[in-house]
Formats: sequence, C-alpha cells, structure tokens
Amino acid sequence: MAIEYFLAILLGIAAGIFTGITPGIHINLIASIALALSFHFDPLLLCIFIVAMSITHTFLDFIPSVFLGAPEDDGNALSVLPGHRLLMKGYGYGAVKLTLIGSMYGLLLAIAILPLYMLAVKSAFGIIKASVPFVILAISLFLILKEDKKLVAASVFLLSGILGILTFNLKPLSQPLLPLFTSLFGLPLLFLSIKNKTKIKKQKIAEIKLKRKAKVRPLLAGLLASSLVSLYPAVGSGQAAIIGSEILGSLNTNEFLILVGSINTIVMLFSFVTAYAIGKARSGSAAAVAEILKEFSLDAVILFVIVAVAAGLLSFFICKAIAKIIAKKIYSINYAKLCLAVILFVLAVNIFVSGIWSVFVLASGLFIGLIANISGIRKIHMMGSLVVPTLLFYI
Amino acid sequence: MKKKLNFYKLTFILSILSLIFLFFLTKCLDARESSVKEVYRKSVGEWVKISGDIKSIKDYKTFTLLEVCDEDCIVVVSKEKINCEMGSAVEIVGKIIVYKGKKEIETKELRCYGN
Repeated sequence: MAIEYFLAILLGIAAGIFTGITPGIHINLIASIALALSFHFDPLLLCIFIVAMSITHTFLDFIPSVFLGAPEDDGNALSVLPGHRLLMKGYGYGAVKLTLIGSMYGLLLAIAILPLYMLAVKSAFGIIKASVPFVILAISLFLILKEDKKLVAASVFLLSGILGILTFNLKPLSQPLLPLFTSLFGLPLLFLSIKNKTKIKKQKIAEIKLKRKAKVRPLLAGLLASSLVSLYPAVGSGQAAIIGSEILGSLNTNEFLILVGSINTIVMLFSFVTAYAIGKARSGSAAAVAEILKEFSLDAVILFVIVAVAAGLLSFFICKAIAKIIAKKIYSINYAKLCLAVILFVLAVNIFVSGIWSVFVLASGLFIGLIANISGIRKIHMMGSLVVPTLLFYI
Repeated sequence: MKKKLNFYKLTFILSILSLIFLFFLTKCLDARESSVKEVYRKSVGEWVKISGDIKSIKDYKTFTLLEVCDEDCIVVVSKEKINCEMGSAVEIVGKIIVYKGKKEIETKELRCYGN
C-alpha cells in the first residue's frame, strides 16, 4: 500500500507540473477528470493524487505568470505585476524563486497552525456563514476605494460580475471557470505583449538576496490573510495578497512575491481543511476530494498534510530547475510568437474542454481584461466575476 | 496618447456589446431535454434537463439524494436542502457526474410540481 501511496504522490506531482506550467490548464480540470474516474481507482489514492497535484500546482503556476504576458515598458508602472517588473529587469528566475520561498515556508507555517486553525474554523462557522455576503462585499468595495480610478475599477468589477453570471448560466458550457479566468486574467496580457511587441532582456540566473526580516514579514501577513480569505467563497489569493500588503503597510516587489507565493499555497492547503472542518470546499480540488471521499475524516486530513509536505518539498526543487531552464532560453525565443502560440493553444483547450460557446466568453473576458490592463487598475477587480454571482446567491 | 484612449474606448464598447450578445446566448441556449435513458448515454460533465417523479429522498449532512424516474431511474444529488415530497413531479437541470461507477445528476435547478 505504501508503494501505491508513493506512486499516487509522484503522479500528482507530475500532473501538478503539467497544470502549473501549461497556461490555460487548471487543476480543476484534472480534478474533475479524476472525479469522473473515481469508480476505477481506490478513492483515497485518487485524493492523494489530487492533493499532491494541487500543492505542486501552487508552486509552479508562477512560472507562466512571470515569464508570459510581460508589458512593453521597463516594468516600473504601478499596474505592472511584480513578477513582470523583475522579468523586465532580467530577474525572472529570481522572481520565481521568491514565490517558491513564500510557498515552501508558507506551507510549513500553515501546518504549524493547522490545529488552531481547525478549532477556530469549527467554532466560528456560524459567524462565518452569516457574514459571507457582507465580508466579500466589504473586501470588494475596499479594493475599489483604494484605486485612484474608482469609477473604472467599479465598472470593471461590475462588467466582470455580469460576465460571471452569464457564463455560469450558459448551459451548454462545461467547466465554465476555464474560459472565464483564462479570458479575464490570461488572454489580455498575452494580447498586449503581442500588440506592444514586448522584448525580454537577457535573464540573470541570480538569487535575490533578502534579509530575514524581509522574509518573515510577508510570510506572517500571508498566513493571516490566507486564514481569513480561505473561509469565504469567491475570495482568492489575489484579494488575500492585497489584504496582506495592507496589514504590512508598504511592500516592495520582493516582499510582495513572497507574500503571493505563501498565500497561493496556504489557501490551497486550508481549502482541504475547511472541507473537512465545516464541509465547505473552497477550491475545485477540495470539492473533488470531498466528493470522492464522501466521509471526510481527520485521519484523511493528516494524511493529506503529509502528502502536501512531500509534494511541496519536491516541487520546490523541480520548479527551481524548470525556472532556470526557461530563464536561460526565453531571451532567444521570439516573444510575440510565443505569446501567439500560447493564445492559440489556450483557445484550442477551451473549445475542446468547454465547447464552442466558450469562444464568446473568451471574447467578452478579453475586452474586460483589456480595460483593466490599459487603465492601469489592479486586475483583482475582475474577481467580480465570482463575487457578484456569489452575492446574488445570498440575496 | 490619443491612440491609447481610442483603443481604451473601443475595448469598453466591445465589452458591453459582447456581454449583450452573451446575454442573448444564455436565453437562447438551454440544456437539451433528455430522458433518463439518454442521460446514461451522455458524457460526464454535460448539462442535461430531465423531468420525472421522485421515487425516494434521502437527506444527508451536506447534500440530499433523490431517485428520479421516468421510464428509467437515476440518482440526483442536490447540495441544497429541497422542499419536495416523494411522488412529486420534478424538472431538473444539472450536470452529469459519476459516483462509484454510476452516472448521477448534480442539480443546478430543481423545480417541484406538487404530488
């Protein structure tokens, strides 16, 4: 049995590497395939596979985020994503390494507070449940009011919300989150990279040296913000990162990357725990695990934590190696052609997985995403695509 | 700068137009009505719409299981608490899932029409 567990972890890591570095392929897709195959395999083994894949994915998905869709300028504008800012200065590898530090230490810190988190979640479930619409609305309003261009931010939030409602109501569509998130968060950046003829500098394979304090501050803020947002639907890593940076005060690019890395992994780990503790799955993977297991026990949670640590440790080194290879090669690749190839690949994946009608979701999301990117507001307002449908559910 | 502003305006107009088009698509496109027998032949993840009678209801902590039958029967999973009674006629719109090797429907919309 131990060998089977080990194999499930390894296969999960391999799947997580694939979903992490391939744009447009999300773990929810693989988790749903695993769910469909659940009658062929031992449920626990399948869940180990999903947990290992999900944790690995959170380590690797910064690779396409950092290396693809970079802007045309030197990356100093406020609207430019922190990973792209470092990529444009030749530190793409360093940027990925910072998110890895965040993911690894964040995972270990989250495990350290897990018993406390579980107790807190169980005892506060009533309050959490009652406060869902108020909290997610408050977070969204807070983020809009933080912008200089409040009207544009509110418009993007509402347009994304309408797109979310329409996408979830497009009956022939399978996997609606796939075209929704691909179009809002992926396609606009790729489109602008082609339009602006972005050129990537030769990358330095160098570590970005940080003082201990510069690591501890974002990690603690990440832990606090993740603990909060992992309890609420429609609130994800992006919002948690902004809340985390608000807790800390001003954050430089390096600290912010550690913060987002930690949040990404902690939110994923906590989603399995909340599925056990309060029966609410806050991620597609946790939903699949809960559905496969039906009866979610404490023993299963403990096993999943061990799996998460094993997958996290291996992913750390694998991701470093992959980022190093990409950083060395990216300078010699025609960046516009690479982005175009990714767009075509993503389009094909969407049509294959979600159906031909997904093309219309992709087009709408692309236009909304372009508004957010051109106007220079935070892209996080496009999470209105989940927040608004969730709010409507509670009304 | 002027070019950027024009592009910005264009994306704004296109986003609204595309949402209007998508709205009409959601009104025009519906999950195709199927018999339970047809559901068994469809793929996992597809949207379906079925009508039938409730043969049994089992309430669990986080979900409810219904057995819905026309000429054949299928298990329907509802994550919401439902207020239907046994014998009620129901119309269900949902997605096909598989549990323990058997196809089931996970509901998105469920309407009861009395006993």
